[in-house]
Amino acid sequence: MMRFIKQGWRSIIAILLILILWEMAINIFSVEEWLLPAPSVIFTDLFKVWPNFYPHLLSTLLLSILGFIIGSTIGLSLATLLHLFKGLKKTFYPFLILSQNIPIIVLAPLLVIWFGFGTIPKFIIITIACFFPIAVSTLSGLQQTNRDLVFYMQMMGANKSQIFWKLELPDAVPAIFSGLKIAATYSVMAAVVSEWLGAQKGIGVFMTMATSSYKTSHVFVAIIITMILSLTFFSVILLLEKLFSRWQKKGARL
Amino acid sequence: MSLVIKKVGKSFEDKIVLKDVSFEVGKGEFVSLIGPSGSGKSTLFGMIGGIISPDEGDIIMSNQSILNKRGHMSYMPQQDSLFPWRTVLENVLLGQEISSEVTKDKAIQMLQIAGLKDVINAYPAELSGGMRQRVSFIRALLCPQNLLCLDEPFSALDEFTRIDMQQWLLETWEKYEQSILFITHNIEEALFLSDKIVILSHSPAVVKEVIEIPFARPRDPALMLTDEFLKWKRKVMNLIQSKN
Ligand SMILES: Nc1ncnc2c1ncn2[C@@H]1O[C@H](COP(=O)(O)OP(=O)(O)OP(=O)(O)O)[C@@H](O)[C@H]1O
Ligand SMILES: [Mg+2]
Repeated sequence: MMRFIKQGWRSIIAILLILILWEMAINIFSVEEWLLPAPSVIFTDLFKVWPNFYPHLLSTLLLSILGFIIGSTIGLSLATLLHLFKGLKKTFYPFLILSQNIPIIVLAPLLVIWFGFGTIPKFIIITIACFFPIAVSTLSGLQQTNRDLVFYMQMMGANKSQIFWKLELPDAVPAIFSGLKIAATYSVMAAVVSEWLGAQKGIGVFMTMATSSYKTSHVFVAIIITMILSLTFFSVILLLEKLFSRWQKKGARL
Repeated sequence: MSLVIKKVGKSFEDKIVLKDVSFEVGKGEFVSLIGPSGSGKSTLFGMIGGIISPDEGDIIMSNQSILNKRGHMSYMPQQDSLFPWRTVLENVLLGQEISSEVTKDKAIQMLQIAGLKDVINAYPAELSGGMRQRVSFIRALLCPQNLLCLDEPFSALDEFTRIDMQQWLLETWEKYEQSILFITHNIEEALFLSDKIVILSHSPAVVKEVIEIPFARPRDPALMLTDEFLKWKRKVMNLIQSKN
């Protein structure tokens, strides 16, 4: 926590400054609340609406965690397959990139037509958003294995699966984590967007209700919570990364 | 274990690298391979490791051909090639993981004997170059294979560390029974360490001479200052420089 404050104080000061300017601007130009609420209003609303908001948050949290896990698993397995079978990679790599050109806004209603309003279309949307950064960074990590180490493994008579499990995969861990970090933030966004498709609960639902009733401050509450959720996700992955790459702290032990 | 290299030849594209190369490594023998850069020493190792196939000739280990067969030797490269995410102990066990069962107790014992007790749980990035090569050698020695192939293991080290390492290598190796095939560019190193030196010529490389080194074991670095040693050094130098 101390380290976070040490490294993040610039950002914290910047945020505070923006909030103060915002508050002042609203007062000076006397902006209507439904157009743009002042930060103070948003914060008091946050506490007022919290008991109501909490179930929505839980639902989105669950959805994004599950979606993230599904998406990362698919991304990781896909990268592994494409890496192990070079022919597959040549054939399917372009599809991987094309998958990112599908506009979700167009895809979403189609998914509802095909799969109904259940959880499946939601997971598909989150997966599409999540798997790509993981697949791409894992693949590049797997491809950049130190040549000397590969040569050593071959000279020792290691087979393909030993080279993969003992060398290529652990060597790709930093790359995999950089993909996971991006995917973690995407997954929260994608979960919220997917809830616009229609759901009983979720931050996305809360947002839609707030917008349609012109409760602008509630929209901002939802945005702030979404941001905090994203950040939390990101930090958890960061923590896991630290745990997995203790060896990178050079000379720390002696 | 004995290794016989039998009339091995190899060309890359139309460049003949090795031609009619034959020599033997006996049980428990320390054999050095010296020759000019590009003469095909590492290529020969690749063949023994089974990842390069010769155009002609045969490689025989304990009366069986090991042509294109992997896993019959243990290897120590020039760069230590330790895995940065593994501790010293985990690194040392890697060779065993590849070829047989893991004997952790034996590894710890070996590291202790080799003077690496204090760094058993350290990561490679925390070690000096000399220490890393020691770990790399123990990793090779711990493998069940009876032939260790060392490709210029000390050439990246400074002179002081190098002399330390040569003596440490001998002391450590003499406790075990493996044979060693050792590539070096350094004549003194080859003389001090080996029972036998195989001299390769310029390309295409043929075996210029195989000389037996008579110094008794265990050897002491003081040996390198004796007249006898210098006489042998002169002899090897002359052989290397002589025209075929
Ligand atoms: N895969 C390859 N394709 C083409 N040429 C190769 C290949 N591998 C090695 N060579 C060539 O074979 C020759 C011998 O190479 P090698 O690495 O075995 O030499 P070396 O004796 O180990 O040299 P050094 O002492 O510098 O390590 C070199 O001329 C090299 O360019
Ligand atoms: Mg070489």
